Amino acid sequence: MNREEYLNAVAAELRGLTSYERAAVRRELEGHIEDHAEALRAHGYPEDEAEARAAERMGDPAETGRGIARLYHPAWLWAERVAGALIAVMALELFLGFGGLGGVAGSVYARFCKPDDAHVTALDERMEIGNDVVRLYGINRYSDGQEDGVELWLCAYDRVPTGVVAQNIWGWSAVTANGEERVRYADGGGWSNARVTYCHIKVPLEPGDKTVALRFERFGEAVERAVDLTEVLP
Amino acid sequence: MRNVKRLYTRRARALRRAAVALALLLFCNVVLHIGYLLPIQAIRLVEESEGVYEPTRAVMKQWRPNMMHLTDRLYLNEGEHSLSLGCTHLTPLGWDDSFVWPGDAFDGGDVQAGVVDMSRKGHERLLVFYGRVRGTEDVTLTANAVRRDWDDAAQTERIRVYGHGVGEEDCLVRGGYTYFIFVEPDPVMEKLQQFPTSYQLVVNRGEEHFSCDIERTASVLWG
Repeated sequence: MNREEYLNAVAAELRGLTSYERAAVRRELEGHIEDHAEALRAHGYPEDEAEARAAERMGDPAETGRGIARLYHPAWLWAERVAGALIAVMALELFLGFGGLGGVAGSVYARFCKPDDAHVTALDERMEIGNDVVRLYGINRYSDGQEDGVELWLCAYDRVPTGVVAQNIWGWSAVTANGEERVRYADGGGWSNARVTYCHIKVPLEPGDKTVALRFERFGEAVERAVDLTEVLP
Repeated sequence: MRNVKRLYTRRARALRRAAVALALLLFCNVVLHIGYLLPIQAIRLVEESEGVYEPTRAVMKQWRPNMMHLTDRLYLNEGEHSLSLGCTHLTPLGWDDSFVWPGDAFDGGDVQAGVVDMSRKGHERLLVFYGRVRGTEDVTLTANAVRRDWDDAAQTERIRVYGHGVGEEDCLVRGGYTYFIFVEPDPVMEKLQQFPTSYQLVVNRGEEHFSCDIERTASVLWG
């Protein structure tokens, strides 16, 4: 029995293997036979005889084939196919959702950002509410002719950079001075997305106000923080 | 010298692919918040973005195909301080969120209820009534949509109330409360081709009979 005949006899027993697996098994056996035949040729055996002896040393081809086929359980083939399909779907998800990584960068940036206006005093006051953190990162005085007050520069992000922030967090905020609610105007600002949100809040002040208090209240959680105004007041 | 190529077994290949798939799945779920395999994951994500920080549990779940998507699934989630209606749907890329409408549930009242109206182009307008009523036995509920108009001729307000009883299949009794999710085509829109002006929940609880206005409302537009 030469090499080809041996390999064909083994292949006949490899039922249930995919064409890729059959080819791989064939290559593997072919390699073993070739290694052995090469050693025999080095010992002076003629080409044909070296190959025939090497094939013979591989054992009964039918038994070898059945033994190999037993190693290829169909359940693992299905597991491999399911996992392959999942990888394909996840790769598509990655492609479609790749832009979400920009939000993670935005969330990290919000932890260290400073006001981009020279007239704003940089602060770094953090309040934790639930999973989110509200950060007061700047404060400045404003005067629009009718009223004087302070403008608070705020951002909010999840404690974990990959987490999402409550989008309506500014809706549950209250700013008080001397116990009165004073928010006159609030708007966005900065680069808001699902993971970070920015807000500027204007608080009109009256003579004698030395602090304002930021309060967040939501579903049983309430957090309050007083902000000292001495640095920005004349 | 022959080129030796390692012969992987099916098991090794399957495990290797499964490990790669799991790593990708975790990355998509945790970092990109997509590709959820479970509907509750999508609901939890929206709960967090709606500011429901406390742990919640799903009290009721209902398949409601074709409300907005083919595979809509409603969740009534309860926490210590919140009660939320959530909707999610299955896409080829996993479970995706539609909305979560949270509300306070710590006021100690007997009734916490809300309404979400859903309008979808080319489809009838739907009302989703949800909430909980304290009491477990002999509780029957009627969900009403109300239209109030000023009648110039009669110089009176004209009030028209349309409603349906909430079926047993839409209720769940647990822990001293009767929970409900009730979906119906908007009766005011059906009969008057106008939007309701308010919503009510009528509660029959044993000998007690009372109605309350539902103030927690939201609208979802789709398509």
